[in-house]
Amino acid sequence: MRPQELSAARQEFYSEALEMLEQMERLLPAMRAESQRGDASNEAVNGFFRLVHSLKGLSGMLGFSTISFLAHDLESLLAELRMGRLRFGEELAVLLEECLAAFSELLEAAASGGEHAVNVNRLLGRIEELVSSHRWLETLDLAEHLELPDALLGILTDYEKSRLSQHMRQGAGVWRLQVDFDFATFDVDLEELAKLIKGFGEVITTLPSGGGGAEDRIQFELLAVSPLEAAELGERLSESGARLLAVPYRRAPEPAAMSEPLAPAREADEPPVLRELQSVRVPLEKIDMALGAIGDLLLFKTQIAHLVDELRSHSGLGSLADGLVKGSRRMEKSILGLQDRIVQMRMLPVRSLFSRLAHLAQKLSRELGRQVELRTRGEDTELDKVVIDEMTDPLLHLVRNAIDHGIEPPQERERLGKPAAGRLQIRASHQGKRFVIEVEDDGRGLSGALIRRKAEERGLVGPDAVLEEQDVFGLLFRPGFSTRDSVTEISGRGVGLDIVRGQVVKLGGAIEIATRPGQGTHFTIVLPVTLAIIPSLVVRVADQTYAVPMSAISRTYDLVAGDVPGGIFDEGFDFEGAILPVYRLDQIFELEQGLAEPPPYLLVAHSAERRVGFLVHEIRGREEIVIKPLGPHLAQARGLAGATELGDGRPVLVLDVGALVDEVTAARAPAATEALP
Amino acid sequence: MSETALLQPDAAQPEAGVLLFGLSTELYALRIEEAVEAMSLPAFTVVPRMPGYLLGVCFRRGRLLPIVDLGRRLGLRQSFRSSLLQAARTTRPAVLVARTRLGELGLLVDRILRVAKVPAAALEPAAAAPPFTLGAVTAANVQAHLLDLEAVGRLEPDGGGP
Repeated sequence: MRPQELSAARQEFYSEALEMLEQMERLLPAMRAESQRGDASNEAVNGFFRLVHSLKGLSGMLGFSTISFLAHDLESLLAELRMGRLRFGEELAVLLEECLAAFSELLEAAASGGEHAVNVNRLLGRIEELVSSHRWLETLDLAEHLELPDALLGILTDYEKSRLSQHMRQGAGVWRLQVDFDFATFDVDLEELAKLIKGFGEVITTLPSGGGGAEDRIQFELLAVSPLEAAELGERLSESGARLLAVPYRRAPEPAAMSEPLAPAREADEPPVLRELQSVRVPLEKIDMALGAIGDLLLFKTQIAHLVDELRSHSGLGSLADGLVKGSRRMEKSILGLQDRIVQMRMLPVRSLFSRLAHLAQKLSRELGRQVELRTRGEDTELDKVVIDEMTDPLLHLVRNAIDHGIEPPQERERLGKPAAGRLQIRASHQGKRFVIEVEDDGRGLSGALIRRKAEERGLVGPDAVLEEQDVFGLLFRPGFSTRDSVTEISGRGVGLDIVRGQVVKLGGAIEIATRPGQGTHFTIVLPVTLAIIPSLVVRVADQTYAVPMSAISRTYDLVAGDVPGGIFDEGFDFEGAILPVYRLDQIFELEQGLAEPPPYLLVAHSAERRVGFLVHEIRGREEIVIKPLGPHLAQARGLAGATELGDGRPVLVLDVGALVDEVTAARAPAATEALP
Repeated sequence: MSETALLQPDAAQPEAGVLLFGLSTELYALRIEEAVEAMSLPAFTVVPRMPGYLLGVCFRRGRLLPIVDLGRRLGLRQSFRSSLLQAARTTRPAVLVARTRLGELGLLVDRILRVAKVPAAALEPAAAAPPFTLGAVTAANVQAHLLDLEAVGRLEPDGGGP
């Protein structure tokens, strides 16, 4: 738009916007009346909503960002109202009136070129608060909203937080237990208490607390969850002598936190016209080429380091060398910053993926005669475009499973005392550098006993095997667990889950399942946010160099230094209480040159719940790598995820640790401990 | 059809191009559309658990290029490994980058000779041809095996070939 056109368009906008505001004002009393009558037609609300939507689009297009933001937030508030998730009460009426007043103030200011002089933050905050107040229980990390001392919250691991949140979502209460035990026996006492609680809840964490008391006693504070009421919990714990404190929620999440994504992230919500004005489409390939160029830049750093060494060896040039080091560090920092920004370009919000899932859910529930209430959350969460593409089929599969086999037909649900409409929830969130997506239904679920029986019938597990609960659920992901005939018998879970898991593992992620008969099934998938840059270990195996993604490595040991704490046995080594088998990578890869020299380094690798040790000859260091695909000719190559470049122009192969772990555990190849140094 | 007839350019007969290259004592032809470029042998990396005829992978313009040792792929190396033939390999080995349906593939050959014209009809696959060839063509007065590039490019993991 040329400047004259823009200013003409703006002139038109003022009169049009004023007209809209007048219409909105007229609709307000009608909305109130509609709500009082219990009129479900929502005619006035819909009219108001459309006006706000147009105002948002128009103002955004002409660059009135404050008006557009306010309209945007108001729109989400009205959407809740339209969906019947929010009631038209006095508070809302007042808020709407204030919004209209703010709009006319903004228009006036905008006409004189000073739209930004009007501060609407307080208003935005109140809208956010109202929108979130009735659904904040489902926000990403419930643990963050507990009234706990920061010191305690701070030491919770991500896993503990997620366990906590998971229990809370299922309606469990959170409790602080204070106990003191005799110094001589506290370990046994604690264990017994944990065992007791396991019967009706879970201990999330245990901390010694410095509190007073007698010298020969030690105080602990336990954080536990349980669905039991306070009175019953107190009774069950009475013998342990524990003091019980309920942990309440904090007030609804801080508006500040909720309104944070107000800034540019909102673009995705705006009309397509607006987005096109502000962005260009770039093929993924070009972004990857830019990333490749960055990789080359980082390689120069190594060359500079060599140069520095050389300079140092000449007397009198030391200060020159120091200057060079400083300069190259600064350069490295800006290159890494640039790298981050380019990686960002590969990121897209998962919104379009979610709408595909919603579409499928709708279609299936129609076809199968189910009633499904779909709730999605975190549509704005960003994820690597490639990961989104690769995860689409597995997620469609999980949704299909949930509706086809999980959620019961309405009559059956009513008989069971459940609401006729099954609830299917899909949530996306970021946890640090990981992306978490959950698919949860409140359908039939599965019992561990049934899964186990089926697995035994199919010979996947021996009748004597001792399995933890998570191991039993893990059986669902094993190839060959389910066949078509087992679908109806076992509520259908397990259909193709091995394929879903395979895909997740291929992307460097993990999948977990929690299910209870009659209560539903909950899948949690954790994925790396981007595939573009992968922190990796560079290792030597025989005379070959490989890169191993760190995401698949729990830790490394130097066997010559003898630092394996649990010791090494014939059948493997002791890692965190489990005996893990060990394999030589040179033998797996049939590298003849390696046979003579026993590899002295141990990598503890994992693929979902399985862990093994791999032996390598040397650990050369850490590199952030960009993976290039092997290409279709080498699709059959096993155990490799791709290749990368580390400086000499030769490809360095990147190991697919998940596939290797699966391969050795499936083959149950003999462990290689006899070759240990 | 006599050899001279083939060499007569005929306006009515459409022509096609082939790239002639040598491997051991044999001559091979690749359709010109399938040839991308020739380069000297680059630094490459061995891919574990792939058959020996896959020499390895290298980078070409930022992408991975698999390189097949064509002599081993065709089974020529084992049968003709004599000093005479070693001596006959006068030119430095070159990698011929070829375009297959699955993407680009490098072929390690002994020497690249020239581009020649043949009647298009001569490139039709013959009914019975030795493995990895589509038949014989006569170009520039010599007879060469027409390479079945797609067959060469179907790499099988371990033990799938010589």
